[in-house]
Amino acid sequence: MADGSRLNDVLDAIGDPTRRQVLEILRSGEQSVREITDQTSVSQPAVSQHLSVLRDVGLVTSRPDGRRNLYRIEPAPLDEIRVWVESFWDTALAAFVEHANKAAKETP
Amino acid sequence: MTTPSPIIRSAHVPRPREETFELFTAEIGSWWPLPTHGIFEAEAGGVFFDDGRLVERSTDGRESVWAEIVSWVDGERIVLNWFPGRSADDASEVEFRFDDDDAGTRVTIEHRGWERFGPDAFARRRGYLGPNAWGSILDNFGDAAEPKVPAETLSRLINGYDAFFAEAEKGGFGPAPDGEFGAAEVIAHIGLNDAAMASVCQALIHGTEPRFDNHRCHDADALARWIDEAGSNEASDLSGLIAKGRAIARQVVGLVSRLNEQQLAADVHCEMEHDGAIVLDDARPWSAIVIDAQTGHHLPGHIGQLQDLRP
Repeated sequence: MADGSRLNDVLDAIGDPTRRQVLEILRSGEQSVREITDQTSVSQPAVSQHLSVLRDVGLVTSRPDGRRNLYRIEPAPLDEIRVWVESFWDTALAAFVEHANKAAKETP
Repeated sequence: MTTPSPIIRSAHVPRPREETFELFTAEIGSWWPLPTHGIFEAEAGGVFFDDGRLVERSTDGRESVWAEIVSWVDGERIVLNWFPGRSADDASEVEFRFDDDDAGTRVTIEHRGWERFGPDAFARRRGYLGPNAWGSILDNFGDAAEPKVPAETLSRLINGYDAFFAEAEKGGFGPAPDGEFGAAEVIAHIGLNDAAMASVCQALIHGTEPRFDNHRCHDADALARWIDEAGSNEASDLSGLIAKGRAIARQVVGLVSRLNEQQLAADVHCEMEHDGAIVLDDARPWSAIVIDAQTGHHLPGHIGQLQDLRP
């Protein structure tokens, strides 16, 4: 698992609804800025900026294809979040089971 | 690219399904690790299923809504629109399921749409994100410690609260004398005091710095917030306020039941105010405050105050 600061950067990056929308769009496969922009309600420069944030935290990568860049999603950082959310629920559940075990022992 | 699959976690609880459901919901503020998994952190007073929502309350009466209840089937399942630290239109979905299981209940948590998990809320405390901070907690289920709080001690606390809320339910209160608490303020004061005591219990359980002060339960703004959020600011209808008070009192009892001998005897710095003067600014064993003072002086004193409010 990555260190906390990297994970927080990823969490911050997907905290923005437009960036999540961009990730949703990229789920269908590799696309250019123009193709992504056509599926959102924001401008192309705005999409480019969001893509740059997502690229900085490793959620998307790009490769040149002729005169344009093609962007695609990278699953690894999302897997790290998944591990984090899993451990969140593990802790909550363990705390409940401990509480319930004690309560069970107290009840005659 | 496919949509991320739901996160599913489950555990066995050695209790019948209905009881497990009741413990899970009514005592969620007793077992939920609020200092690390909450919005108000050290200022957390409790978390409650209340009025179609899952809501965290601070020790000064603020509220943060974590989730809205989408579906609630007693003893079986709860589905939540889950958005701690975010807005309701920016939510993922969490389901709690309760199934009969070998001599007990299987509790299952399913978190769907987890890629939208509210990061602002739970990313605040960085310490628990480290690779070794969590460990394989599910393996430790069988190791729950024996309860150290004698049943008789817990009964004193339960009876103390019952007597207080029974007095409140009798009603018939007149207006407060100038500058004094009315019935609503008295009930809110007990609730805020409970929030402060809950936060100390949570700190003792989770190893953070416990500190008890009762300033906030005398503070006019905090009292007004507590009363206002309970939706019963009319002297004639205290039912919402009483329900809110009973809910947090139950969680305090649940938290006290989790404390071991050392935690109960731990010196907690207390700063206590009475009639506008500081009457205590020193460390006291926690049991002397949360049990002895609460059942010996505090609750009986406010029962007397309620009685004096009757014309």
